[in-house]
Amino acid sequence: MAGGVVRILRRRIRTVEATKKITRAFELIAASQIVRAQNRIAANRPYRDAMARIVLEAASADPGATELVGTPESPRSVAVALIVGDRGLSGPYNANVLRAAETVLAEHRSRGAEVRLVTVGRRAIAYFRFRGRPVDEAFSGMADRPSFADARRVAGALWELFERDRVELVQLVSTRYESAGRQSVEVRQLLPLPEGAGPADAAPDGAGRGGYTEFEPDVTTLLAHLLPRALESELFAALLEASASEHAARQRAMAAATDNAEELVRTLTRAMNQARQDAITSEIMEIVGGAEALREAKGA
Amino acid sequence: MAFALQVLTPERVLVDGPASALVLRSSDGDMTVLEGHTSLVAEVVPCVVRVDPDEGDPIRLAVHGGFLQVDTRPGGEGPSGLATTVALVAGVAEPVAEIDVERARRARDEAEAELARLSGGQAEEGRERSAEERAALAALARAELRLEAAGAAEPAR
Repeated sequence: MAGGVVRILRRRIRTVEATKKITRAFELIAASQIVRAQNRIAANRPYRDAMARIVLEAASADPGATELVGTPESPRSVAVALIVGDRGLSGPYNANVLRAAETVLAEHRSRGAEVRLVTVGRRAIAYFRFRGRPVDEAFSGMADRPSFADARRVAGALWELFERDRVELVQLVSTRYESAGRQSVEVRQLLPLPEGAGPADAAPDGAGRGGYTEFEPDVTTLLAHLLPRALESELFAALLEASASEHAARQRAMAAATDNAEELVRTLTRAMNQARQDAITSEIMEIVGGAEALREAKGA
Repeated sequence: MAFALQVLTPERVLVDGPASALVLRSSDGDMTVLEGHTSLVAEVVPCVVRVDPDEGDPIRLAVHGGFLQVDTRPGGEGPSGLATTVALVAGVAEPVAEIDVERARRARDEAEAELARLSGGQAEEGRERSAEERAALAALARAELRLEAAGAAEPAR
């Protein structure tokens, strides 16, 4: 009877060991992906910075850009984009973004604004479908290793909402990769260009210069051509950071799971040894008891 | 006589270092950027770009559209007394050495075939272009630019 307990425990230990192997493998894969993703962020940064500088210069020189710069007071229509992963097993990574997005959405709805939703990542599709919320456009299959073409598609959808459907504000909820140990969810204004990035910010940079810049073609036309490209650049950077963050979150989650599995194996092994010892003890007791009884019967 | 030049794409830095000249085509026409060029922001149309590094051979790049920023301010060490920083950003660009001529040829032929199929022999004038047609035209333009860039890189065979 006691042997049954031992058998059950042995089977459980085997299961946990197998799970541990899987989580360990995931952990190692994620760790290698982080490095790759970090390199891609580093390779992208000069492009992103240069693009931001160019947009800034053009926007601050265009007197007619009021519609394209600044934050609308209480927009009646808003587009919210969010980036999550395609898969789970990444700890709180997806939930954090979805929760932050939920807060943003609730705020816009309480003001009575019309909200359009664009999502990246399969996890978002499942989340919003379960809640019966309509999603304007859902992208997936790009969260792991985003390409610039992916960023173009998402940016295109957002640009269309802004340009054709006259959405007054475009926001992005995604995870910012600060370092290997630190990632945080961020809500950012994509369009119109945020005020903080406007002329005031440019002043220290442009101060040492003659202050005259030529534009080809004229600045209004240039800005109209520039903005969609700048949006692509911002989205690509955001996708890269989100992907690095997801891999980092996955590595942490899988490392924790591996530790847990190890701990569980230890506890279960102890319990199994105890059960086996108990079984042996009671068996000895039975034998000794039996022998004793025989001896007493003989002596009587 | 040199200025700081960066040629950047979303995936990587193609050129980063001092250069003596940058030749490209903006929306207003062909232009050359030298040290001391007026501060400028320009749209770069698809073209073959030539970079003359401060040292070494000229580099040719196929740039499929982008933007140029020239930033000139006082304080340079050169004889002009101006410091010029130039950034060329392009969504898609590649050095001529990396262009696969065979692939570009195939892409061009495919795009041409696609265009012929889509237009179906209809007259071109006054017809709204479909999304597929625009994509095919863009693919054709890219392939032709690659071939132009690569063809020039193989002088007098």
